[in-house]
Amino acid sequence: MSELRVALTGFPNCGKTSLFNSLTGSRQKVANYPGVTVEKKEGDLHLSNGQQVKLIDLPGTYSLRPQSPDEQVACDVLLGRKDWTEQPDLFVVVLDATQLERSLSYVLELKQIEKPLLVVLNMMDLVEKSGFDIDAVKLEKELGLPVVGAIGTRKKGTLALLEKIENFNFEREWKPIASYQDPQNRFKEVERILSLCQTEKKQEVPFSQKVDHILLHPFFGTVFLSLVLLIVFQAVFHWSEAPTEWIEQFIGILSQTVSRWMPQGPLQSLIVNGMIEGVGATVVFLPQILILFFFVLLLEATGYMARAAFLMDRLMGGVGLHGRAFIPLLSSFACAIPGIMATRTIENKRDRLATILIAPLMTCSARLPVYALLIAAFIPNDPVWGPIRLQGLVMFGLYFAGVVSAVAVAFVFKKTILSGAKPPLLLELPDYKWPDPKNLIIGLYERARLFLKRAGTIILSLTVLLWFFSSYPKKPENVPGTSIEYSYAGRMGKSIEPLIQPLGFDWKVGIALIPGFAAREVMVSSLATVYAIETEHQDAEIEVELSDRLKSDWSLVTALSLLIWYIFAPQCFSTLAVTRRETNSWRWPIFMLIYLLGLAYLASYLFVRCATWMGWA
Amino acid sequence: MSDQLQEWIALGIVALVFLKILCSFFKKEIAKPLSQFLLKKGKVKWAMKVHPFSKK
Repeated sequence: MSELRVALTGFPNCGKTSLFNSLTGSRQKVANYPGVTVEKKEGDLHLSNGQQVKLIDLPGTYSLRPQSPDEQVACDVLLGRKDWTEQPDLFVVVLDATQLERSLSYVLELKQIEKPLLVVLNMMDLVEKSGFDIDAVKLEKELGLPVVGAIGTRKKGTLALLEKIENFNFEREWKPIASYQDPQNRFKEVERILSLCQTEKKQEVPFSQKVDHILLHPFFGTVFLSLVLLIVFQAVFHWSEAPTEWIEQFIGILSQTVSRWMPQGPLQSLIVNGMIEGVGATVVFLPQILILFFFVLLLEATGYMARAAFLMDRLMGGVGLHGRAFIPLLSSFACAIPGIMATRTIENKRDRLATILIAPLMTCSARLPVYALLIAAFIPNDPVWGPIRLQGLVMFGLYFAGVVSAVAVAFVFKKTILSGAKPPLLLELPDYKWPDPKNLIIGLYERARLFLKRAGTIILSLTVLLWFFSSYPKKPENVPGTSIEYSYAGRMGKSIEPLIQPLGFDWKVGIALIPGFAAREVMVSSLATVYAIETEHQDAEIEVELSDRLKSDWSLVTALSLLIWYIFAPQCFSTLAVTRRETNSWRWPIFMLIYLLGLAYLASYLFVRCATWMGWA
Repeated sequence: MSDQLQEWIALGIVALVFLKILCSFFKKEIAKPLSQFLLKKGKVKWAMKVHPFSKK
């Protein structure tokens, strides 16, 4: 029995990925705003008769005339344009059952492509709550297509859908209806069908619209958004205190146990100073990352993120950016890679390029360990106003500085190399929904898994290599200075010291900056390894935390200069690689690398100059 | 455990890690893009040779 290929298609934010996850057991990202899925995803499932099915989740599209690269991906599959793409045997059209006035027209348009179709009415629970009813049997008759009701997020209707797929008549002949080529005729037909299959909707103002009167208000909405962000960053520091301490204690005990159990020597140094100290220094930030993502996932699931995009459109429009750029930029707070991929929802090529170029300026989660380490070491946790404390405020300031610099850079690009008219924002505002706790837990689990996987692969590997470069060649007895100064890494750090000294950095920061180009958080593990090796011949019983070591070795100006460097520095190879893939050229990633490095150097240099002039340094 | 034995084991671990990084670099940055290019050109057998996991 050959594999059956089934593709899910429909408008953006109609619940295709929720249904895909329910059917295949996958954990693809779902959120309550349009444009989350930007490329096709595949998963496997079996029907009760043993038939194997390859399920394809396509990005959302409003019609068969693509307006943006993500819609292009969906339309290429639907129309069979790419000859290396295997054509699906069946298209499952997923519709938001509360919005049939808009989405039924898409079903009629799809009937023109002469392919087997099956319709799923998703979010049937919201239909009931909205106080109207849909007669699925009548709709099936009027459309001439099989129709199933479902609630994707709760796995309801999935069995009925699988049954429909199993009993689907693939022998049936699919003929296009000539009159459906005209959109006006399609809309008339939708009206006719709905008058027969759907009871009248209540005319009262929906809950979401009532709430939006306040949350989308130019003044109150902006105040609310600022408050939300402030609360998030305060929570990142306060809620994480206890779990961070537990992880620190665990790493300390592990490190001391290995030191006692193993005799002193190179292997002990590799395990304790390289692996445990290096990886441990990054892993302690797991609670902070999870708290940040808890809020991001919560806001995404409720539908507030789309409102934030709407509020930000005024600011974005002021610098010539498309309002749709907000969602990719928001994704970049997690990581610039999905953020850059999410720019596929932007139709205009110049707007898309401008958004790709500024995405690395948004503060990604890899910066969080660096920020948290330096803030905890150098900024006192004094109360500022009520429950707001200085550390949380500085963290908020760093995130804010990232946004402001992104906006400023976008303004310059849109006025110079990427100039063009700003198109109006057309953004679908989803209804507010209660977040699904299961999705929230899965989202957090995925984030923790990714972070720990990075710690166990990239960070561990680079830490082991850094340990080698920091320990070899061994310093002969008669040579003055520390062993790390004599090592390859020490020599490399010393050789770049003249270049970074104007920024307030010494050769040890230089050593950590180099592997930090592979991934930002490697900087923390590198610093931990460098300082652990430097002090390895001191009293091993005295456990000194990395933040205390930095406090005694660096000035406040050095720490602040490094924080400023990190707002801009393009220290992530993967971001450059994905930029190459998305722009299909090396020109833009090279430009991105040069302009971000230039900005980082200039900003840190100016800060150190000002600090020296004011007598801080 | 003698100092020399410790050193050999430590350097062995470093060598293994270095090899692993080289392999993943080859897979990600050379084999995958090359096989995708060959797939687009329709030279499936060549693509399978370069990157055995690439599917048509």
